[in-house]
Amino acid sequence: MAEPSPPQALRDLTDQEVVRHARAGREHAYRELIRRYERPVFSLIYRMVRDRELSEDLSQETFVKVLKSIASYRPEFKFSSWVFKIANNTAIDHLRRRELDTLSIEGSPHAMTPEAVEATALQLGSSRASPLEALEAKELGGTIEEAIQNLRPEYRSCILLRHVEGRSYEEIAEIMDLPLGTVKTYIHRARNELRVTLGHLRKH
Amino acid sequence: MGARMKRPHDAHLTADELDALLEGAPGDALQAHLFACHDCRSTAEADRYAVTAVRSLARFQPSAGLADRVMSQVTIRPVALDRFILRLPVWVRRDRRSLMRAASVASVVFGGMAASTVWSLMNRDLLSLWGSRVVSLFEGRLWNGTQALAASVAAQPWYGVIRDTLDSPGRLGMTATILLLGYVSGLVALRRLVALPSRPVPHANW
Repeated sequence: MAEPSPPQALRDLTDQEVVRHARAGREHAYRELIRRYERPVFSLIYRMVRDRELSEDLSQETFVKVLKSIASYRPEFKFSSWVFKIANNTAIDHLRRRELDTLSIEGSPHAMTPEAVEATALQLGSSRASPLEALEAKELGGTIEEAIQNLRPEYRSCILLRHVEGRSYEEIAEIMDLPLGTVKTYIHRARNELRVTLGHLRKH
Repeated sequence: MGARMKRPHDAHLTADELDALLEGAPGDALQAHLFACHDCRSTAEADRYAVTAVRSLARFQPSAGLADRVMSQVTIRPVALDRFILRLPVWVRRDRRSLMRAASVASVVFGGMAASTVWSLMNRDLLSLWGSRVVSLFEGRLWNGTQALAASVAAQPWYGVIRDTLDSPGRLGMTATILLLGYVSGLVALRRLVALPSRPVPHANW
């Protein structure tokens, strides 16, 4: 079924104006907001969770949250920051849940049998090494993507928001609910790590 | 910004200075230090390389139909209605007694209106008869009343004075002008009286 595209007139409006139409209950405005942010949101989530299918689900969850709570959006804030905040929280929540499932490198503390211990330990160990994920890493664009994947999730969010999405430090602080100083520290630590990881590429 | 502040000549680059270099706004002192310090020059180059690499990353496209999948889970309604629906249970919980009173009044009013409508529909002929009697009665009374009022006004002692005053077009115009000026000045005075003070009044919050 062909997806009905938002009318051309909506494309020329600012985010705030489209949000006003959405709040008035116009479906085209909802679709226009999705059209504007589906790629940035999906890219951010994909780079956070490294799984295309899961990223599709989390992006969908993000937009459902955004559109269902559009009444509570406060127009004095940037709409894009609000969307990224919801997307980032959705991805981080997922990573935290996953981390709880694979807490220990020796295996889950809840594992009752040696097989279960081995299985849960493998889940963590395989997070950078399984053939499937190696394939995903290749799809994600090689060494640079891998270098980003190896950052801590908080560093990863910050560096992606700063240098892929072009957000200011203040916006990132707002998106991630962190003090400005912490955001700066995270970004500089992330860049330190990237400098080291990508150093060999520069020498070639 | 750190890069523009006076920096010790031999100090290595800070994080803020690396940012300043990325933004292309290094101060003279910073440039001089970079020229002299091989380590910092190498760090700055590596930093620029890493950031350029991250910036070059493309955005990914989700599979087609994301909007449809999202829209299938969202109910579209105007926010005002949404807010009303969201707040209704809160109002009911918060003020149950007042709500019961309002519901009783509403049921009496709407019940009365409904009963009246039903009765009217069932007794149309009677209503039409009453209507025509009332109209004929009031028609006569209204005409007689108007005549009596006009005669009473004409019999008043001030009626002659007003009639003489407004007799010529010049006097009529002058009187109208005076009345109009009085009306306008009254409006201006009223507006000044009700205007809010433009500056806060000291000790107004006693």
